[in-house]
Amino acid sequence: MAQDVNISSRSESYKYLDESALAYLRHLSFAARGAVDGAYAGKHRSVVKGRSQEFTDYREYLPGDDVRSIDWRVYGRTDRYVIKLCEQETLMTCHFLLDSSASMAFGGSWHKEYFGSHDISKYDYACYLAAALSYLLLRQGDAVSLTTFNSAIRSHLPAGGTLSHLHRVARALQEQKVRRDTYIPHVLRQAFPLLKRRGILIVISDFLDDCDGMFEALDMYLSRGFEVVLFHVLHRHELELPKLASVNFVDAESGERLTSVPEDVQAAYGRELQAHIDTIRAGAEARKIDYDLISTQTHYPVAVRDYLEQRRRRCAYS
Amino acid sequence: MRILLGYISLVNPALWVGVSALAVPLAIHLLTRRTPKNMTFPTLRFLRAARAHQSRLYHLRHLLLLLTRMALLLLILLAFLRPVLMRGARRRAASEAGRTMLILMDVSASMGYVQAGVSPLAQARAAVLEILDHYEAGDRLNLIFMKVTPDASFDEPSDNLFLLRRDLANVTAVPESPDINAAIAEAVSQLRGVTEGRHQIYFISDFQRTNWSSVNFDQVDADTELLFVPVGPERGENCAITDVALRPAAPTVAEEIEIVCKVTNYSDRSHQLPLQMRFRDGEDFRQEVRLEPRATVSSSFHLRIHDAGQYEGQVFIPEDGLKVDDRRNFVLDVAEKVRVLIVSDEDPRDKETGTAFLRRAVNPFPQSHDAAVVSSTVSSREVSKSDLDTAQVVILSGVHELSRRSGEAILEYLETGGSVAYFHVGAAASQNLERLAAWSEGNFVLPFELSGLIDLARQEGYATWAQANFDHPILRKFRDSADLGDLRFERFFSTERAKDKGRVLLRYDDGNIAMAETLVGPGVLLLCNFGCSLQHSDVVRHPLFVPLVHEIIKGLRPSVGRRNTFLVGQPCFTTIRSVTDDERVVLRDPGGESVEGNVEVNDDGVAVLFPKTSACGFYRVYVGEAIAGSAAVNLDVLESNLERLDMAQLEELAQQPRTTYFAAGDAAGLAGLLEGEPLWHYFLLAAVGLLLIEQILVLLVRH
Repeated sequence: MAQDVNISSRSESYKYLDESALAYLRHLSFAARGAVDGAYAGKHRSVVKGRSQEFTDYREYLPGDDVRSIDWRVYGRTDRYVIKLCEQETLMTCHFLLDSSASMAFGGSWHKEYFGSHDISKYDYACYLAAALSYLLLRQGDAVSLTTFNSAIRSHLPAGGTLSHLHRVARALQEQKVRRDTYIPHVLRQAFPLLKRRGILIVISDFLDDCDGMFEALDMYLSRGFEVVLFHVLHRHELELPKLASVNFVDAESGERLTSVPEDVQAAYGRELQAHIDTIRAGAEARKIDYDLISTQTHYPVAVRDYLEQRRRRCAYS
Repeated sequence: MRILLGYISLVNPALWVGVSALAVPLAIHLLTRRTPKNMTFPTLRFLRAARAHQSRLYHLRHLLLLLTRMALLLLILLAFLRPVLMRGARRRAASEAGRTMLILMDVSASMGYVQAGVSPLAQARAAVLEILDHYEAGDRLNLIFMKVTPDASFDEPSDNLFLLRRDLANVTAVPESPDINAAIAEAVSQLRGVTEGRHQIYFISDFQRTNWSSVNFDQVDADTELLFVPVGPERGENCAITDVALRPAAPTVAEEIEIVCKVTNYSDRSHQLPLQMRFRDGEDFRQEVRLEPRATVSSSFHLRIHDAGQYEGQVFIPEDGLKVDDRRNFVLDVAEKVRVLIVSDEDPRDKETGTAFLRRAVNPFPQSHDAAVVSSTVSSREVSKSDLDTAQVVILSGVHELSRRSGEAILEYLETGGSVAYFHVGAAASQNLERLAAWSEGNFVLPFELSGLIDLARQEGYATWAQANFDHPILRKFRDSADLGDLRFERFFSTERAKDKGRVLLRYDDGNIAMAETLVGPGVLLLCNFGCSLQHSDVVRHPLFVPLVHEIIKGLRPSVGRRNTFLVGQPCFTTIRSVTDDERVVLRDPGGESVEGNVEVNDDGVAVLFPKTSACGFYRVYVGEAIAGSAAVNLDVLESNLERLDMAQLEELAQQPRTTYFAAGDAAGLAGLLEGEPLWHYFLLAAVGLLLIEQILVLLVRH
């Protein structure tokens, strides 16, 4: 059952917790695709049978079982020790892996320098996205963990399911700075032992990395029962090059330079980028991973709403 | 000021300041070029891959556009600088000595052809003026007018342009055909007197095929440059009377005369023209002729004249662009009788000689005034040109050894269209024939050789005629008569036929030739291998003798009018009756001006020679106030065909190692030859092409 979360209950305000946007998302819920593994009772079906109000089956008592689980009524009638099995509703844990490499800074102050107006950077967008989803998950009683990374894990906030945890998440996002290059496969392997409880792994990144290595790493999570969701965040000027006369492009991570007229290379660039996106999409579809390409031009509550709507339909269908 | 760049000269170099315009696109390019700002960009690897798929040319297209625009401006600038390509005719090193230029200007009759109010002569005059206008210090020039006899302004090349211009202003087309080889020889002769500098011969002409196809350029030195400047139309439209022939050429009183006129159409269109004939103070004859393109038609007028005398006639068609050949003059000599001159060294008192029999056969009734044919006899030593000129047919019989003078007179008579019958009756005949052949310098080849005298009388035998060519006019009337075979011949020469020479008319039954003819120029020599005396044959006893002699005379009468027409530029002559010492003889040209001539008086009349003719018309001999004789002078028909010789053929004629230049057939062509070929339009064309390329590049850049 959803609980109301008052994000302004404390005097602190957080950059990525926008009340109007969260109010817009208030009536949405993040549905679990299947049974989830949770330590606390919650709204999602659990893979563990235990005590609960919904009876499922009996089994013979085995040494080591909790004697409190023996159904004494059955013993009274049949003189057999049996245990009553019930489906337990548990909490869902959602692990956010958020890319904070240098490439995620694209679009922020740079946009103002070239076009005179501020524009949201990929990192900010990713943070807003993570905060909004965390709010929704915490609001429906689930737990959320946050891991930020570039070429390695930079911070890890273990899973928590309270309002104060939302504040911790928001603070952690706010305190992070983008830097260095990305190496997602390495990060995924590094995070694997940290994420002890099965749940949903949400990776928010621009995925300018080795796709094959990333999917190999994700296969570990999938085999362990994680559901994986990939949010591919790209700036609108990455999807369509800015209309400038001549630009000296500098690679955000390697520092490499290339001078060109964007208009000249737009078509060929678009083909190359689309090929990269198609590779990720194909890899995700093959593994039944949710993949959502989001442009920073799309207002993030809308992007969250659209994704959740699609997810709800998929869950209902399955 | 003129700047020379290799062989390209810039006529308008003042516009070099315009080169600054070239900086305009460069400046625009540089000014609009922004320094690229640094942009930290995450997806650089896709950009790199995208650029790797694009060609270098694509990356350089802005530079290409800039270069194209600069080249475009450069071409426009060069076009305004008026570049001209300097060909060899004008090209001259600063250290080089002046040129020696001989200008050979055609002033023949065809240069007077007028089309659309302009004549080739006027164009030629303008061309010469253009050459004179390009005179440079140190140059020497001379002007040679190409006529029958080339006429040079100076004896050697000069820098006196004033006199050259004066001569040029006064020159008119003459009704003559040019002697081009003589003009070239004159030019070469003058050039050889100059050792320094370049030698150039300019030919300014309409380059008629008829006159130029056989010009010999070999006499021109190899280092002499030949420059050909064609003027006039390439195929002028012209109709001309090209010939007037009289049949018979020397008619007698009341004899039917056919005047055959040839009219030629040298154009590509057919024409229907009135052809008129008019005699001085006489009636007009007229008929229509239809002329197909590039064809000649013959049209005849038939008439009889009942009074002996000399008649001046003219045939004419309506005037066209070339007037001088639309009228043709002729003189019709109507004789009272046919005059036969018998040349014989036999005793005129002997009544039994072959000559005596021939004389009686020619005119059986010498006392009668009605005789159509009369003869006169002269010895071979006394035969003169005037004797021969008055005779329509000459018969040689019983001639002893011919003197050179007599022989050459007879040959000249033959070569001017006369006819001679030679009866071989003496041992000298063989030698005389050989001498005539030798004196003619190859113009006369015997159809057979006389190898020895056959005397059948000693064996009491004889020969008869066994083979006859009845197609020949002399024997045609005897075709149906078997009497020719009845004639008996006892003495004649054995003959050896010369292959393919002459025509055999009669053969004896032993195969020897009895009669043969051969052509000597336009004249005919009839060789009769028999004598007319009783010692040689019984031919005089036979009734066929007189008809045979008259058929010989008739057949030998001139068929072409050797004395009826002369070519302008050449000498002409005529004969008149004898004059007394009191009578004043005056010679006049067609314009009525008194001219000088040679007058040779002999017993029978006076031969008058006009040594040079300069106009078409009648050159007349006046005795007192009356016209005693006249000679018709006409234009050479070569001048009527205005078709130009193909320049490629002309170039072939004037082949290597000489350097030849050909101007296009207009004033611009000559200017191009003298000043250089203007190139500005090529530059402008290239600029337009570059403009198109620039537009294509702009489209490429934009899309």
